[in-house]
Amino acid sequence: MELHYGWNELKDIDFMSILPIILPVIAIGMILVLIALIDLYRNRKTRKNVLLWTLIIIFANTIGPILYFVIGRKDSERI
Amino acid sequence: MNNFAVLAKKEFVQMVREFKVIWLPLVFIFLGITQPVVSYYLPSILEALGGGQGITIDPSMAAQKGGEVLASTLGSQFDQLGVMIIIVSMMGVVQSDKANGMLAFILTRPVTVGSYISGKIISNYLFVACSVALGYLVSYLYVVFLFTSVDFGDLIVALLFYLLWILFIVSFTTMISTIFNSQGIIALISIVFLLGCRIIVGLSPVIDNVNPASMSKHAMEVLILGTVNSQALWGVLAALAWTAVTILITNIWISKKKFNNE
Amino acid sequence: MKLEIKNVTKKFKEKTAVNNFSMELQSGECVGLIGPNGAGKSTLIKVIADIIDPSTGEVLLDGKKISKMKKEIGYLPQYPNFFQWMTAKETLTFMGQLSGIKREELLNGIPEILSKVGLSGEENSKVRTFSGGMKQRLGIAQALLHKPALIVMDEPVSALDPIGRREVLNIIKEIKKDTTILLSTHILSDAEEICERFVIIKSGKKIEDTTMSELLNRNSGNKINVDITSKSQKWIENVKSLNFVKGVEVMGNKLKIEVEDIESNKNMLLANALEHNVDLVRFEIDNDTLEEIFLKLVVEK
Repeated sequence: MELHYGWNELKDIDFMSILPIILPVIAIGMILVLIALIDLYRNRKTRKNVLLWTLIIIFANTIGPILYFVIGRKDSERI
Repeated sequence: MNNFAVLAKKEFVQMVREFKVIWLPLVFIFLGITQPVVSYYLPSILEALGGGQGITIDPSMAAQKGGEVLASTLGSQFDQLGVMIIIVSMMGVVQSDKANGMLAFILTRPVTVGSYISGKIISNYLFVACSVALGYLVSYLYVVFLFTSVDFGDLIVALLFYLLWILFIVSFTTMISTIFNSQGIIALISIVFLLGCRIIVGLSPVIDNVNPASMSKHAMEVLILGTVNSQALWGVLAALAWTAVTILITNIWISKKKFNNE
Repeated sequence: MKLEIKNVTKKFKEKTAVNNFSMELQSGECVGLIGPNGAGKSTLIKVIADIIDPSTGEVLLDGKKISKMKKEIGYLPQYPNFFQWMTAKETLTFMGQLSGIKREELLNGIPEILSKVGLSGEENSKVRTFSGGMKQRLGIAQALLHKPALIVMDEPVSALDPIGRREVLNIIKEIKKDTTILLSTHILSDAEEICERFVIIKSGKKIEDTTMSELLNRNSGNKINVDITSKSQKWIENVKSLNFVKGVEVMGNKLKIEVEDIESNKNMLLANALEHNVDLVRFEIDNDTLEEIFLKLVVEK
């Protein structure tokens, strides 16, 4: 398969040289996920769809935490 | 402390409590890194993927100059996803105060509408501008590292142009947030209008002179060509004028107390 | 301090919420604004608090426009909704600073006011965690903080459960000793408990402006309620034959006796009862309750 062939070729790129460049990107993504999860955990009692948001934050990379911060931080009820 | 300082401080405390102070700069840093990294590795990825399939690669891709890459950070990352994120993060700026009655409540105190609006716009603008500048500088570091260096003077001039466009985005979103009551509508109108402004840039020089989004184009030109467009002054004046108009409309809208007439 | 409301009319698109309303309020008074739901109470309160502008008319405090006198007004909305992420102390600091109170004054003033409304120990709790009654008390605290001449409250207790209601009523009773209060409510017993003066509003119009005792006196008929035990039943016939008695309604052991003039006849009736050695359980002048008067006024007019 061509695709398979392609991915093999990609391995030829020196990953060690990419690492310092890619690492900050990964780190930022991780920090965002972490903060979002901490905030969600702290407020788990007043938020709705806690499980759904957890999944979105973890699996929708970068966009997930942003979505959570913008629209997921609403409390389920105003007393 | 006067009322402006009290209200601005409240905005900053709120940003910290809501983690906005962390995530918005991070998002812009992320966007800032994306463009140079993708530009740098795209040719080799394409080559590796498409080598066996005979796709020809534009040789100019590999030989991009630093200024061009930085310009496309502004033009294709910040101006699309970046603007949308600014709008979405600001859509509730006045709307949430209206919704829970805090706006009316604050105005029963000896607070002028002017200090309320300036507290909102200046604090939010300073914060958004810092986030954008941070993302831009990180992008610059990557560009210098992966491509060629960019003249420092051009870097600053381009940033100033771009921040003027951001100022209009902030004041426009604040105005829409004051007028409309649903967050979805606010986000929709702001995104359509502001991205619309950005898209029509370059169609006609006359429109560009009165279009605040042309600031973004001037910023990119400075980075790519190293010179300031002679028409830029008109654009600067237009952007400032439009910002003043949006603030004026916001002010009138709140002063007339239209926000709580059922 | 003198609050004047002059010919205030407020129209929303088709509906007239407040119609040519005038009243005056003197220093030290406690006035209850009573009316059924939708009578225009909240709108009027909002006009007084300068949240909405009246279509015509004006509100003056000490002869000056209310919008120039905001420091002298403390306002408590119907549902005080503070910033959820602030603590009680931050909320009071924020509202206090907006009213122009100095930092040093706030430092001493806030713990004092919090203990006054019974929130002492809660200064560092987030407003998010507060119950309705606690929010209302925090609302009272912020309305009192800048020591205004007039406090305006929109339905301060209507949305609370009995316990919260009791707490808030007690605080209001406490603060009315040294402040002028204007409050709206549709619960009569609350107004009866706190206020001396009532203004009854219906469909945006003022239909009554009076005091508690005056209202009760004016509406009392010349009737006396007497409860007796069954062994004194034969006294009823005697009563009917008295010359000042115009009529007697008998419901078992309860008598409703109508007389010609309540002031002079009530003692004569009592003397007559004692003379006949009647076993009395209850002897009282028949007053309409405030609720009955209110219903009469609101439904009839």
